[in-house]
Amino acid sequence: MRKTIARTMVGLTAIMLVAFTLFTLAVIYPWFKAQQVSRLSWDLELAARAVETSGIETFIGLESTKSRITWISSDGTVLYDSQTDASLMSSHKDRTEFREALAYGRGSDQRMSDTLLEETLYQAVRLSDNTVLRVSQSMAGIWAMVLALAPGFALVLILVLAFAAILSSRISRAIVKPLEKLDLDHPLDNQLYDELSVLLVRLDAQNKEIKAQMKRLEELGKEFTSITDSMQEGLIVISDSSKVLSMNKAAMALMEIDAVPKGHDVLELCRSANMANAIDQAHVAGHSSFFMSRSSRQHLVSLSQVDSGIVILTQDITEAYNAQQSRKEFTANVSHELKTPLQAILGSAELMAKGMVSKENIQGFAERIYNETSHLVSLVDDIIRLSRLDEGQAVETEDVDLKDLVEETAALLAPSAFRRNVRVEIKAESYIAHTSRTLLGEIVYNILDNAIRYNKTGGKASVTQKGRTIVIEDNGIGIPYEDQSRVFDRFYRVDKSHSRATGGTGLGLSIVKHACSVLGASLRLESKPGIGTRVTVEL
Amino acid sequence: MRSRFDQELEGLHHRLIQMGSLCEKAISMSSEALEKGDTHALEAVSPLEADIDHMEREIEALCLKLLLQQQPVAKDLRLISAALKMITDMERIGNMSADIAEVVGYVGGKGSQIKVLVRMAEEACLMVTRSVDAYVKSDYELAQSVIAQDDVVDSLFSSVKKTLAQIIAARPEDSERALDVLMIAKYYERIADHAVNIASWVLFSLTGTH
Repeated sequence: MRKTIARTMVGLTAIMLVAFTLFTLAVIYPWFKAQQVSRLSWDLELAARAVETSGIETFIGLESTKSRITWISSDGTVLYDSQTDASLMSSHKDRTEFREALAYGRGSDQRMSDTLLEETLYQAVRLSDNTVLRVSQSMAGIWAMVLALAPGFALVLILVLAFAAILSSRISRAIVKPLEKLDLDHPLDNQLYDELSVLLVRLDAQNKEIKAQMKRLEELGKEFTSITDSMQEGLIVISDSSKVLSMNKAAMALMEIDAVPKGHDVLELCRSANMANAIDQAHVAGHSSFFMSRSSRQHLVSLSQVDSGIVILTQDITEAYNAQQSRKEFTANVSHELKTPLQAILGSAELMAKGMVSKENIQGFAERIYNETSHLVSLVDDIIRLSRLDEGQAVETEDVDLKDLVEETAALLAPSAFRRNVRVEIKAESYIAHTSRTLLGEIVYNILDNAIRYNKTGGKASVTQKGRTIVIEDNGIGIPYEDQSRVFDRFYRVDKSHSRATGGTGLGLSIVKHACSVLGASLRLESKPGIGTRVTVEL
Repeated sequence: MRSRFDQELEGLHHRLIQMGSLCEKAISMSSEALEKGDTHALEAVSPLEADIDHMEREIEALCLKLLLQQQPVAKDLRLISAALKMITDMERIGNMSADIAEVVGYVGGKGSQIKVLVRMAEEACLMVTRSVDAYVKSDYELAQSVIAQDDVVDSLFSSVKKTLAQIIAARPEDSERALDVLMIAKYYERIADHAVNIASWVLFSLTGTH
């Protein structure tokens, strides 16, 4: 701005100076010429009188410095010239001033020389003897004057321009100084040029608008953060060059970091070939996903390309994953468990059909088929029970006297206890609970069944019911510590060979666990190998 | 101009981490195969090795382009030259991981019977992971600890050697398999050396001394 002001001022000064000079010349030159013309006509007057009175001889030999005097006869022949030999000169009959003088008594003319640097003025008068006397004088042309003035003019121009430059720089600085001190944050507090007030008011309004918009953006950002932070899924937004732009709390917890590592490469947080591939794929196909295992939990990571980069969403699918795994395991186990007794039946039946079994052995084979078939039936029963529980069908609840239930269940198992020579003790008190008779019956039956089944000959099993708590205890073989956490898994057996001999399906405790969770009952298992097991069910 | 260069440097960083993670995956897959005696691991590892080779060429081209076009100096120059060296080590790690998977194909579960070899595999895996970690985090201390860890792997290698010598002496019929197992141990020992190289290139890019 300062430069513009200075440049303008210096330029203006230069233009004014040149314009002034030209104007002066334009005014002075005609005046100067008029002066010359009047002097020349005065000279002519004098010369004419002198010639009239004393003849042309007056001038002969006279050194004329200023004007040139020419005497011309009426036919145009030059009779005398004060500067040139008259005999050498051509006829002057066509000259304007001569013709005018002959015709009207006086004539005048002015002619430029070829270079325009010199101009010649002519004045002529007709004398009484019809001859014409002409006086002429040359004067400097207008350009000659300009040239003459040039050095002086240039000097003045330089001086004035220098002065203008200094002055303009000072003025421009003075003008700009308050602008530099302008407080743009509070435009209306400035006491400055009135001309700027419109601008300052506008600036103030815009400042306020920007502040409001910034606040709105901040609020939107906070809103976004609070929404994403309350998400269970991890959310990471990365740029096209894989730099982290934003991240929610769940994602930070997953990556085990405390602050959003803005500007860092996402591979620095989660360095895996899968992630790198998924990013590349998302760039190409727009979407990709992979499974990630972190801190013994399974996550589904989905990547989607958006305008400014890629959005990464992580979902904890551990439960679903585990469920799927156990379903797979269950299916595999079921097929195996079903196939084993069937093979035995098939084998026995085949031998019998081919008549390869002697009559006395037939009973043994038939018994075997019978045993395996009943095992199959109980297995299928258990599977049906479990799948009913899995389906989550609504349970019918009713008022159940726990004492009756415990005693009835124990009575069902009495033959089994008798066969294995296990004594069952029951301590129960009457307590009415609103629950499912079937499911609670299953729970007590299966636990007590195990207490009897996995017991020593002559061992003891007891069911103690007090209020809502049922404790089933035995002094049997107990469960090894490493297996205690897995006995509730489907088809898990501590000792597979022994279990088959005792007729267990491997599903009993699994049904207990499931039924307890359906009823909302707590289930606790304490066992010491060789000493006994104690299972507590609390409704 | 500068910002474009910065972008390309970031791209190089990204690619290097990617290649590092591929190496980690390759060696962990081979080690898992060793532990489980999985004789078909090579089928899974060799595509990884191909990926690693491809990445090496890609990163190399990127480094050369950066060196020629941008003529970097000081830290940037160290970074790019360290990257050029590191990818060679990473490529070797990928290659040897595939070799291990291949040899496991011959020896099956024999390798996992030598507990000290399994430990060696674990240590070597850890060293690779930690060296890549040191690069990612520009961690001076971690890089130095990787270099120090090499002694552990070296002494484990000697134990493996002794164990195998005893096996050969006791059961000469197993000597061929024992030599295969020795090869695996040697591969791990070399992988540990390459991890040390990576760590020292990290130190070079940080301090400028090598």
